[in-house]
Amino acid sequence: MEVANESIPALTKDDGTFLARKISRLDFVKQMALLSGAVLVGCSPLKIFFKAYPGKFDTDSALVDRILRAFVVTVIPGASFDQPDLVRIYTDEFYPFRNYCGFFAADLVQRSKELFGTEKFDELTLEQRTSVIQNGLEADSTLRQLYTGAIFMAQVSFYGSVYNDDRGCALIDFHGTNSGFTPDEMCYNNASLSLAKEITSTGNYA
Amino acid sequence: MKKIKTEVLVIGSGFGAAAPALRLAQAGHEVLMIEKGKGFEPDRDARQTQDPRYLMQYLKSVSSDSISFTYAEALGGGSGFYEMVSLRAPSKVFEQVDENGDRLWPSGIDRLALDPYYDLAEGMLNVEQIGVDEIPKSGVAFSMLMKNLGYSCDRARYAVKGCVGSGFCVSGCLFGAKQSLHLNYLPQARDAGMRVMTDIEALSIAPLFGNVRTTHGMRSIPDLPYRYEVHCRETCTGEVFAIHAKVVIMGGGTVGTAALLLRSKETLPFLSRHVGKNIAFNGSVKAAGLLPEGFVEGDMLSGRSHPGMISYQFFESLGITISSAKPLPLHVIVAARLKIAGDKRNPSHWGEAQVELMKLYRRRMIVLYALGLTPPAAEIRKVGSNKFEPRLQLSESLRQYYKKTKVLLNSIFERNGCSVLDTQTIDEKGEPYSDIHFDTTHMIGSCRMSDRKENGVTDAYGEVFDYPGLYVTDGAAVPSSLAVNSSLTILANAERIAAHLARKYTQRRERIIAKDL
Repeated sequence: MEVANESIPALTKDDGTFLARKISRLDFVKQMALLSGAVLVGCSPLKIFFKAYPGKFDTDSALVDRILRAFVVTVIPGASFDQPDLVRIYTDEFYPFRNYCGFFAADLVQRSKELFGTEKFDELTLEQRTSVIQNGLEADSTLRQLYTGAIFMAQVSFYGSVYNDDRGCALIDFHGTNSGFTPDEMCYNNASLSLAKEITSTGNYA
Repeated sequence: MKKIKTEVLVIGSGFGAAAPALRLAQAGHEVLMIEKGKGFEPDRDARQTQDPRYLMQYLKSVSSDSISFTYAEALGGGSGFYEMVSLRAPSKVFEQVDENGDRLWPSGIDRLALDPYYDLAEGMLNVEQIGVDEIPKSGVAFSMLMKNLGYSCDRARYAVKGCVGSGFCVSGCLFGAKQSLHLNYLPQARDAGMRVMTDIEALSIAPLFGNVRTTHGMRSIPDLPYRYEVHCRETCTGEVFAIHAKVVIMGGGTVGTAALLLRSKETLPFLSRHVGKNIAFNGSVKAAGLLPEGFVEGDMLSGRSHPGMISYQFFESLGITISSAKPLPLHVIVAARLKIAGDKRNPSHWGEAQVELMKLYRRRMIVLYALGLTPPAAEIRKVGSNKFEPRLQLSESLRQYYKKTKVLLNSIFERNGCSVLDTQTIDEKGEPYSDIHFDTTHMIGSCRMSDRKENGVTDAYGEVFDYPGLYVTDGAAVPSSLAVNSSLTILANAERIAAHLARKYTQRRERIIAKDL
């Protein structure tokens, strides 16, 4: 592998989000010496670092989109494959996950092949996809973190409706943008029966 | 470098800044307000959203292992995003003493002295006690938990008028119901002539001439020289400029004001060593539980976010109040990761199981939090050129406080047949903190008032010791935990100081006017 003359990206865990940080050539050599005992193929951080996965997962956005959609509809029951913004959070520049989309999609495809003999993760059954994801959650700590993060981001995006304030989420009865609720929806009309005794007359303590 | 002149410069735009800005503008003085955050008008900018990108525009935090501070940076400060709880600090708050037995509050400041300013603040914010028929379901559930154990629970007071219960209080109210400063202090100050600049960060303060202390007795703003230069930076363009002012009022919040003075230590060499120290934080302890089947249900997705009630049952014995919380819907998703204490099964946090959990939590989860009279033991330190970190030494007494309070909250659940949920606070890396961690929006006291410079940063009227004309009027000046939400006390204290400033700096102007007539 060629090393750039000036600086190259390095994977650090200094903020837990695998933010890429440039290091000097000298530091890279030092890091390589320290890591020389690691098994390259099996070590996830290095696989990400060295982009040790097929290049198409970094260049074929339609492929990655399809894989991620299949992932989301597996972890979110009731999500529709064609829903707009279903996987937008993964490529959103605001979140560091965008740096690992390619690797994540490649990992799902690889596990799909190992478990079910096909790279077409998006064509597996729901149960098969569930098994693939569970397999990823049981892998090394880096992958577990990545898979857990991806699940959580899907949930935040879908249940929290963060890309469409109005939509809410029917699955959990979340109305999204609302004009408020009726008194019957918000309150009990016989609340006084359930209330504890009060010791102030105004709500302020003396 | 561009220079701007003003008689009075107010740094910040939250509760601590808005009151002196208004009162001095009303007194006829030239007032310029600068705010680091973006302009924010609720009817234009507020969204009912949980989009982290939106929330993080306005809500900031600093944290370390044992404590986190969250605050707002936007025009109006925290008033655009708080839960509107507006309670007076109990009298006992003002009796707190430090380790030497010295009173934390300056002489003459107690609940009685503050009451007229509480009245004023409540009038400005339309504060009212919530009606029985307005209490959200989660508040009724909390009150029932207390009733079953023979404990008291009172209806709390809020700065809100015409609440529609949308549940998005903390992302900004679209309906004009939340009485943020945008509806009262800020427009009234503008009408009185105040100018406002947003996206302006105050970098440092320096005296404009050798011995600013020679101006100590001066009382007439027109006669005062320009005493301070405040270096500022436009956050959008990076342009640096200076503001010359005769009176400078720092109202940028506990974190902002301390940071500004810590950056100014070289140019303000006589500053007290207490800058950034003695931060009180109300000792917030939280617990979550699952109401038993058949119990009165709550609702995490409707109604105002502070569901109406506060218990003073343990205030005399333990120095704590207990309230219930009802966070944004997003938190229901996060909460669905919580485990039931003692349940050895590892809940699946995705798929059908998680949807069922969220539906369950919506109606049956209840979150309690205690606020207490914990000592002012935290501080803010400068750790880089412009980076600040909170620090808190976890003393044995603080650990005992946390443990006892948590045991009490959990026992309220257990004695009502609730399941207790295992809660953990997680850090920025998503990892649970390994030790006790306090997170709060009620941090106060980083530049506290005191009778003597040996004990604080400002005198009882917020004037920085040895720097006449330089004032702290925000939460940074408030010297102790309050055991209730802090906004009303910050505002009342700011009104008290503002009244003093208006009297002090307006006397001569009035005499001149009378003489001219």
